[in-house]
Amino acid sequence: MRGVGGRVREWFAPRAETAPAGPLVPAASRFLASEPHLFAMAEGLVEGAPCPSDLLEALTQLIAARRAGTGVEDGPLSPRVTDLRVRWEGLPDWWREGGNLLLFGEGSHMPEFKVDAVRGPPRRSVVAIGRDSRFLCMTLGQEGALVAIGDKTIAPLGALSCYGSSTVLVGEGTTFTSWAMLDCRNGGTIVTGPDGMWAHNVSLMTDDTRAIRDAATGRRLNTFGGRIVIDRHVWLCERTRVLDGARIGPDSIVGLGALVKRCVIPPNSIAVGVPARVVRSGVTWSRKDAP
Amino acid sequence: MIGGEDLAALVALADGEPDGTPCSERLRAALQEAMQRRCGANGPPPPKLGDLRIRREGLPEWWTLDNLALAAPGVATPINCDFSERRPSGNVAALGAGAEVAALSYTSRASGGLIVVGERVRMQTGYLGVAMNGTVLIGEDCAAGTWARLDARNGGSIRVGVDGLWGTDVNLITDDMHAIRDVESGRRTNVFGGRIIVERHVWLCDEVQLTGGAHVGADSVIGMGALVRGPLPPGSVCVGSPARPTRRGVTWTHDDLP
Repeated sequence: MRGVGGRVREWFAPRAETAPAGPLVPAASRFLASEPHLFAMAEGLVEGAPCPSDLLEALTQLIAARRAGTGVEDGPLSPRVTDLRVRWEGLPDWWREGGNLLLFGEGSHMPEFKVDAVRGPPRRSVVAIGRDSRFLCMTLGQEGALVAIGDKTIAPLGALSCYGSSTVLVGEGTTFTSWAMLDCRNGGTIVTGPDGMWAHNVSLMTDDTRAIRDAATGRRLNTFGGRIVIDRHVWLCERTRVLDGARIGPDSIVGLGALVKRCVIPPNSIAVGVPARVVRSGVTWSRKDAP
Repeated sequence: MIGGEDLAALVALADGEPDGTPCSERLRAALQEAMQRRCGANGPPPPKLGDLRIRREGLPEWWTLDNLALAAPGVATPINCDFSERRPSGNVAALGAGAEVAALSYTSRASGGLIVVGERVRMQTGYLGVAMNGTVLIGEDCAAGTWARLDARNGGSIRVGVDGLWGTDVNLITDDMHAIRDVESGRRTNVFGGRIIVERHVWLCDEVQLTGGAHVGADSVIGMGALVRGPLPPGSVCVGSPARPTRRGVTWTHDDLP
């Protein structure tokens, strides 16, 4: 048996540089079909006009379609967005030129929209925010992104990136303590149910943002455009990291600093650690800190 | 244990040269030799030395007395020290063309610290720190997300190969900065000095921590939040605390294609 020293010598023995076999970058990339043109339905409407029923219906269908296959589509439609109004004012020029649509209700704040230097401004993307909600900053890019934030979702320091046919749906009544980062790209999906409670410095990423490949075949090993599904009433503690393939059941709690990736956390459980494991079942939680 | 004499000689070689003087062949050779001496045989080659000029202007007065900064034209040298006891002396920093670093950080009494940053290295927040004969060598084209923290002290070294990619909050710290001792014998039980080697083309994900003794092989990926204390093989995916290889025979690319 070789000891650690033997293995280490083998790993770091000088060797000739060899080029990896096979193409490292496949020619075609997968992107989902882009949106039905909700923008066209709203184009004639003035700033602050209530969303007409046909537009609302089209948006509802779009959210339902993007939720399909995540396993939460049978439940009540979430995020619940009421009192949507068409918004044009205070947006950068590229917003309207790119056929993007912003809707938000009374009492909600306009997020700060940023442009990704590589991907450029978004096209044919839709952002819908319910009433009395706040979300600090959004970076959209490429074509066909959908972001829907439910009513009374308070993310004073939330930052969100959504690129190319990706979908972010944040359920109504979710509260973020402070900094939170959501990154959704390559047709990925983030769906979170209502009444979530997210502590400081939570991050959700559907994709590693770079490719890891088998050195021999060039096949991609890490997820491309993954999916994150968090059910209703989930408590994410500080520094929780939720990555591709995570599915967290209702009423569950994810502990401080835990990492959830390619993992199913059943309902009513506590999961902790890196990677997260269930340590207790049959629990629920409440916002009230009473004995 | 590396002494700081090699750098004292370098500082002396540049003595009296005004700001903007191109690096003489002798100075360049001495710097190359200092890097080689501090590197030893293992690990990635030291960064290439391109067009370096002597930098005097815009630097704190205490620095210019007996420390030396070399930088490509137009590259900022953000020397940073909050000294309370004695000012740092006998330190050398060199930054290649296109390098962007947030801070070159020195502790009180830091001496014999060598920092060489390769061309096009981007580390816009955080700092590169040395104290007491520490060495930090960063290969060309390394890029860090927000807040990278590198600290080499007590003769320790951090050496990073070319084309590295680092996420947010990556820490490379050679030494615990304080001693942990056996009560009976008083012997130090934690590493003093310590070496960190990261070979070429390594991806350190968010919140990765490397301590003295870490040696990450080429083309590897170190997963989010991992703690690396020892050697990890090339072409592997390593995760956890302490990090262990979970997959071998991989590489990674900057594109995000299927």
